[in-house]
Amino acid sequence: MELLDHIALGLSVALTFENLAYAFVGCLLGTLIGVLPGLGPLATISMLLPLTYSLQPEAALIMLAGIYYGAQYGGSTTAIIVNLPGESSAVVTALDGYQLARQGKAGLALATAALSSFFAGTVAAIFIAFLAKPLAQVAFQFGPAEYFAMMVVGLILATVLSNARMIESIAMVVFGILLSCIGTDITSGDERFTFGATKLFDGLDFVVMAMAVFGFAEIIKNLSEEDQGKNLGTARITRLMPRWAEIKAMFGPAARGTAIGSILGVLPGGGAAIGSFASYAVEKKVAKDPELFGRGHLAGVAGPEAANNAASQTSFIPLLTLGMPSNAVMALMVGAMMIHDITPGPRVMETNPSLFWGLIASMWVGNLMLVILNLPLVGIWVRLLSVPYKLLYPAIMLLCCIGAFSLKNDVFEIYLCAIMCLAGYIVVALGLPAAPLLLGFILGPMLEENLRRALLISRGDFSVLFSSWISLGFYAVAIVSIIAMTAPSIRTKREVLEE
Amino acid sequence: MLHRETVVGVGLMLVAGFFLFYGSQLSFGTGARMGPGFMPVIAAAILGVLGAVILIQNLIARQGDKLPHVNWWALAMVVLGIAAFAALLKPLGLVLASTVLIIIADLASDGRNWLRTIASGLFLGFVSALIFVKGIGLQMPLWPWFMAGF
Amino acid sequence: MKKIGMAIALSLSMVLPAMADTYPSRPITWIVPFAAGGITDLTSRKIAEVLTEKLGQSVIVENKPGAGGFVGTKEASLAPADGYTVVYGSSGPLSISPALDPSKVTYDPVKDFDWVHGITASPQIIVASTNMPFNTIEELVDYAKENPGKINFGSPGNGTAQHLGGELLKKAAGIDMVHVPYKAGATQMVDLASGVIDLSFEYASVVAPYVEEGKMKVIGTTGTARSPKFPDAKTVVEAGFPDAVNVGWTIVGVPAGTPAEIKQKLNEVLGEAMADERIVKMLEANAQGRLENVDATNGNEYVAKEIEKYRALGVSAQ
Repeated sequence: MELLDHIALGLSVALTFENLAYAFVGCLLGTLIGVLPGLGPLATISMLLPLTYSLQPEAALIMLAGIYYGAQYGGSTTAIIVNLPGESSAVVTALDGYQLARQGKAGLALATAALSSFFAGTVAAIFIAFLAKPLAQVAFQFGPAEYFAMMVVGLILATVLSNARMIESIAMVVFGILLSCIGTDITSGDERFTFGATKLFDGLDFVVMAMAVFGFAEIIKNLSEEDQGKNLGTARITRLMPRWAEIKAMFGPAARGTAIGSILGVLPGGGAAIGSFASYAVEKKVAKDPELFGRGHLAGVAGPEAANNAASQTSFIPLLTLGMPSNAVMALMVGAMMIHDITPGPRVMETNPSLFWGLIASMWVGNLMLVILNLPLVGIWVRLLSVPYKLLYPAIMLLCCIGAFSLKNDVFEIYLCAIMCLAGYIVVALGLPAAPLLLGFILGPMLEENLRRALLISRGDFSVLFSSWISLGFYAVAIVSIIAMTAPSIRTKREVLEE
Repeated sequence: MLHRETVVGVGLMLVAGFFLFYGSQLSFGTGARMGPGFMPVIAAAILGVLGAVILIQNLIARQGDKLPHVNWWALAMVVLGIAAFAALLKPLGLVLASTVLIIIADLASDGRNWLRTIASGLFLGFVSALIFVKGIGLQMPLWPWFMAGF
Repeated sequence: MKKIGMAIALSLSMVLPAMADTYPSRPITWIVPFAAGGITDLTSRKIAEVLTEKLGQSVIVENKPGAGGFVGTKEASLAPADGYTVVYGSSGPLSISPALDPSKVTYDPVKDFDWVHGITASPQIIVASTNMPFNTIEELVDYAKENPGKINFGSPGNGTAQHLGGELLKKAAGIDMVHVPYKAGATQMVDLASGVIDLSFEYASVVAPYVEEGKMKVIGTTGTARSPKFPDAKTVVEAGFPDAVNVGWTIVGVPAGTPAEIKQKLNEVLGEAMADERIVKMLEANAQGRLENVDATNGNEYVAKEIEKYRALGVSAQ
């Protein structure tokens, strides 16, 4: 069978000592760097790119891909330990992961994240090996109208993310959309709410927003409590590893998350961003105990983490098969390939089979390494929580500030952090939900951009929005979600919770 | 007694008002060809209505949750610490700016141990210099301006 | 402690001018006004690597992204004119924005800088959806004249060189097309491949994979010479629209007032670097052309002329 030959070729490339070493170095660097909020895979890869000039192209790409997965994973670690999602995909992980950590179950949450990521990574690697070519075509079915419909669903799901009153969740989504309007309007090129400040032309950075409403707000909240966070670390730390029953319970969410993430990751227009919380919303719906979500539910970590990891891998599909980068990190990978005189695209599979299949095999190897690397690290991270909070929170603040600086090599972003910290704390202190705010902020621009683009191309004909089965499918999901959310049985549940 | 809901409602309406006022100065366009002002104005209008509903519900019901306890001092110190780091990073370099950040941040909580605070500030400053500047090559000054080039 | 530092600083400031003849005596900062990882950044890092060898001092790339290059370019204009800060300028913030949107530009691209050496100059490849009935620039223009306002052309944003490529052709050929701006290149290419938009002016390295796959077709190029990557595609000059020539270019400069011998030194080593085999290979792999015959003697003149070209378009970026 041809496919088996390909996989054998891939493994023979990925399993050479040299490439294993580069995969390891990449995963390790990525994990360490992902822990610094703000210094995401993008900045890291571009800074380390020159180091790979002298390597074989396979080794270079394997190492860079390792950094990418590692950083994604590291971002989840900070989300769980200190409530600081370093990337949009980790916002959801913070919701239940951090609650688990506060209950002394940080180890359990981290292990769950590691295991479900590994599961998703394995499935996604197989998925790519079999279906890369046909899946790549899915991207061509998505035009502006389809993306708009997808974002509508995304925004509706965003309100499910919290246990707050529905009206307040909606208000936060809208608030997030408003904040995302700051900066240059893509369609017209006009400046909005920048008041002439050149440094605001690119708008607020997601990382700054996340630090404000999650990281800094949490610190002030803890300091406002009676014990000033002294009991945070001392919450008795239960066992680190999940029990067999918990692993079994994890399987369903992880499998569903993998499926959702794998498909959304293929879309170049921001599908990966909604993968993790689409999974969260689904888990909350299918769970027997939805009221536990947001209070430390393992499925709320397992599902989104699986979705996130699957999406980060399937986002390689358009790159490898079409030469089409689906996000900024992938664009950087194009740069890396070009440095090694490889033109990414459909030909890569034929002209550089060892690169193509080696990279796919290394995805699985990389995931295995992340698990091997991170399960022992779980103990260290958890021990970090036993550092007295009085010493811990200033260190978190410092990390955030350095991370904010690294976004643009500029102190302006740190000043923005200070301002947003003030605003973010007020929002959080008033008990308004932060996750819908962040998701409105992420999805708002995509919603507006695609709606206006669809109408610009159709010359103002609204029927274009309903002209494909994909769009209609999304609207159907949207309607079902609204009905499900407002259905009486669920409403009473929500209200009971508020009591 | 001020209710949480009253503050939330009024707050949301204030935010909406801000975006409505400045958003209305942008070109609104038409439904078919939306201008840059379309989205912010519509979103701000929705936010304003939601705020008003929350406020009116609260006024009618005459009851609501208590306002949260806020540690204004901690809030001020955290914000000040971040701003101080931003202001001092260029002139003083990472190590000293980190120390100042840690000292101000430490003021946010009870209990003083100056020696320990300064030591941990310097330590964290050195470690981050080592990891982020020497290690992965972030471009930031390490030392005060008058020592640059050493 | 502080006093000693001040004393050192003071003595240093007296020593520095004397050291100018041994330029460079300390590391040079190379400001890239774009985010790390983009094509400008990758090109910069490669050139910086070669320069480091040639100068015997490290050339450190510093990314100062923001507002389409305004932030970094402005920052460079404020740096001391001592040759230790160089800026990697490009057509967007140096010529397009100053011409189309002067109110947003807070520096003077001609007066605030001394441009010392041209680096790259890449024409755009005109690509069309396979649904479109035309195959050459002439046929495109005829089709556009029969169907005024029907063609949608994409670009990675308002005021980008790619956007201007379309505007220049519109003006030169007297046709009407609708501009559809995107946030980044990738989504635009997918939409062109699936026929959502009809036309695009993009760089060769971006369109190559789609063209190979048969997802879009090459109509022509905005360069004065044919693209080595697509030698069959006619130039706009050959098609009879010389006013539609458009290249995205980059240039290295220093803040205005830098001593002439430093500029001369930079000009010299940049010339050597551009001839270096590694740079030649990289430009070739990325299908980038070079900005020839632009150096310390005529750099500012070149920038001024480009601004004039775009200003004559009479369009606004908005």
